[in-house]
Amino acid sequence: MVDPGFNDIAAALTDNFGTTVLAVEEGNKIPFVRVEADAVARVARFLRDEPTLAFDFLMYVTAVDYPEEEKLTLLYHYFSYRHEYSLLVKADVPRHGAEVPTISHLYAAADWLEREVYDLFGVKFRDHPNLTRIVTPEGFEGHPLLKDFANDDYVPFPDWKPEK
Amino acid sequence: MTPETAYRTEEFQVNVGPQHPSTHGVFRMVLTMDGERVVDCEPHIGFLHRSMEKMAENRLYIQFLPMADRIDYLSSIFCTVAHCEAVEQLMEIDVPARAKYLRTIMMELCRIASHSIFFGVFALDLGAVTPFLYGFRERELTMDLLEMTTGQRMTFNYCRFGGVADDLPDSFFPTVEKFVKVFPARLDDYDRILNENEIFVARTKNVGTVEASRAINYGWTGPNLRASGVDFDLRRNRPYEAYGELGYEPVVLQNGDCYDRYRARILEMRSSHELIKKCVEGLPEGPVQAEKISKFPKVPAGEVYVRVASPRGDYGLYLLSEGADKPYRYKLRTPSFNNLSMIREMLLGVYLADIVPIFGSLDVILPDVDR
Repeated sequence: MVDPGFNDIAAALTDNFGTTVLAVEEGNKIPFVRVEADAVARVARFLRDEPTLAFDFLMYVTAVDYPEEEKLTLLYHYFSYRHEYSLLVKADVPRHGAEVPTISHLYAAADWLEREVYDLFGVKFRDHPNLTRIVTPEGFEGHPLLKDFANDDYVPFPDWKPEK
Repeated sequence: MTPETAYRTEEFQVNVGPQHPSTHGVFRMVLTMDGERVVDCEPHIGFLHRSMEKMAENRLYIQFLPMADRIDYLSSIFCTVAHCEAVEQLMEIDVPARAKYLRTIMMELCRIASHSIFFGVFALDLGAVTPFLYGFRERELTMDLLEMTTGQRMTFNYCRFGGVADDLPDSFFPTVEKFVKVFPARLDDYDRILNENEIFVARTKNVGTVEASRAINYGWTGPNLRASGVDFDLRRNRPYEAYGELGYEPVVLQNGDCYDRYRARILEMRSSHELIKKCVEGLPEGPVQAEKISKFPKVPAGEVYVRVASPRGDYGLYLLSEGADKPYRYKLRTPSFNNLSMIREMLLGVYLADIVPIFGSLDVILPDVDR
């Protein structure tokens, strides 16, 4: 469902961030705004604090892996309870060793969501209070949602032996 | 010297879970305690992580349909509705009106089943055994109806792309009539047994209070959010399936404590009962499945985000298709994950005994958290 008012939101963002906003795209079904990866926290603060936007609810943070293009696309999907519209923000980062600023100080929900993205995709979030794996066990290697992930030899508890 | 400083106290750690009845599954907390008070809490999740998203990306759309039921097995139909809705939106399929109504009936029955389990186990957590039996008695009424329609009692696998698997059997109508007739009286029983029960009220009123702004900031949704005074429900604000035609008004309470979260669910059962009644009365005639839908669809490229109001909150599905017969990215935004993420902040400074009502009142389910 396309929200009315998307063009106004996009215009407010380009007015404030200039070239940091790389593109405003119609998208396929969902229109979205593409920003520079280093600016996601500044953009998030603006979206949350600007009263005409008031995006108070972060629905999810995730990533999409594009191995051919050697990039991950981070997705931040916001929703505003006051105005009842949503906004999808995308940011491209390299596939390995990417680092972006955290937004967990702005949206408490981002704390676990960013840990999940770190766990499953390997994106590091700068200044995150506790950036550890969340759903996979301690000592797990690799990032399962990358398209080329293969971990066939994985043994969950290597030291465990059956009782005789 | 005041009595508080007269004796030296020492902090100690308590491990709760992963196998503990009050954690409703496999959830582990390491609590640092100062006497009876919680000083720190370190939650551990992921014991039930099955990598649902990866499995979805490696399977045909139809193959993942029965698996979607397993994401949240107490309200499984919502996961399949979201899956089908996402595919239908990308393929631009028009679902017949009767199928929409059938999905709505099944969803509301499932919501009652889920909430009556909550009623039972929440009271059981606090030491009352009788409500548990009551809760399961009412769940059985809805289970009968779901079973005769879908053939299953837990993982229904009822939705299909463009409709539902089958029409209602003839025996459904007399049974649902009976259910509609007896259910309000059963809810009155619930009210009588717990609402003014002194122990219950003392342990839940003003315990684990969360104000609206904090609930939104943590991404709370569903009855938990509405118990904190936020007047938002997908069924009214963003209607899908048949909800737009039914005129639904959400249940909103103000205090945001454990008691209100409990009340919100009991009152939701009443509104679900109303919705079922309206649906059965206004059930349109016609087919239950759109015509000429491939069982193995190649979904056109595009991305959608579908939100469904599950009993635990907004169940969201972000689906990105590149035009193949498998999803390219299948992100599950499950309500329990976000509802649980506040647990550390909620537990700081509370008594050890209050952990159980606070955790229980969130009504999280661990497969939904871990995926």
